[in-house]
Amino acid sequence: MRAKFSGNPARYRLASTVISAYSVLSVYAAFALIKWGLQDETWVFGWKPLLIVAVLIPLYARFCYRWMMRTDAQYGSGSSWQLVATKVKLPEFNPRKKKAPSQ
Amino acid sequence: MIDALRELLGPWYLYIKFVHVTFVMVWVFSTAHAYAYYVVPVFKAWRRNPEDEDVIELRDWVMERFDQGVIMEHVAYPIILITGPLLFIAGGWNSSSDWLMLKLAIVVLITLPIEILDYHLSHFGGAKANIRATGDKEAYEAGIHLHWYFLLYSSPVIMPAALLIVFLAITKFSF
Ligand code: HEM
Repeated sequence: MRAKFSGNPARYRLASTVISAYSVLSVYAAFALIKWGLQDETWVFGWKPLLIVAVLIPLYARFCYRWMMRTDAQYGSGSSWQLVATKVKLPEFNPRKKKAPSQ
Repeated sequence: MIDALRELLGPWYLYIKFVHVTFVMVWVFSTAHAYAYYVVPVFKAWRRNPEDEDVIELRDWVMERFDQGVIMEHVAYPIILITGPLLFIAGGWNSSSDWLMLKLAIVVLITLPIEILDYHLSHFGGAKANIRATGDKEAYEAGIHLHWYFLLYSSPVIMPAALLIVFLAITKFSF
């Protein structure tokens, strides 16, 4: 019996939140620390950058969630792709295989 | 030491930049077509028809071909990571450039962890052809699931991040 794929909307919602928070906060923190530590610039801790960070986290989380749901076929009818049954031989690529020596 | 390197590399700046940008193009776009028109539609078909053996056969084949196809992307990435710092030194860049510091933060914190995972999943322990060779069907299915999770979670991150890095590098944006 083949294992069922465990992805589901609740999981994607949690993943999107974690991914968005990590991405925005870590990049902001690194940039702010570089600007402050090496250039003595303090504007990076002003209300504008912090507001951008605060707004970006939920917006980007929503973007990621919708992206995951669409990619995982949880949204949409998928009608632009049809399943046409056909039996073919699928070529297998073996890059390590040496060419057979010619006669 | 840095000054000597700058002297040495200075005359080659534009040549290094040519290599950097050429491999950026390869890194960003080499998998786009395969991903959008082969991997995603076949995986969508599988997610809608999880028991269909024909779809599963095609899914596995596409996944293994994709493991091979990303070789181009994974050759390009280290070349970018080598030529970037060379440009940094040769051009006398420093932390006063907002675009470069933001770009570096995104490269190191976002793209690097994703690429390390991708190397593992595509070419080393997680490579589907390697798992298939062991004959362990459960591990193979788990490997496919793991890679699908990876693609679901990383694609909304890496695609906008790559675009943003290129935008920053070209516009030399400053706050
Ligand atoms: C994913 C990684 C990277 C991407 C996608 C990327 C992208 C680019 C692009 C598109 C350019 C061309 C800009 C132009 O011609 O106007 C560029 C230039 C440059 N990159 Fe990168 N880069 C990456 C990594 C790095 C790293 C790690 C460094 C290290 C410091 C770096 C430093 C530079 C420098 C100094 C320039 C030269 C800017 C100029 O002379 O115009 N890059 N990069």
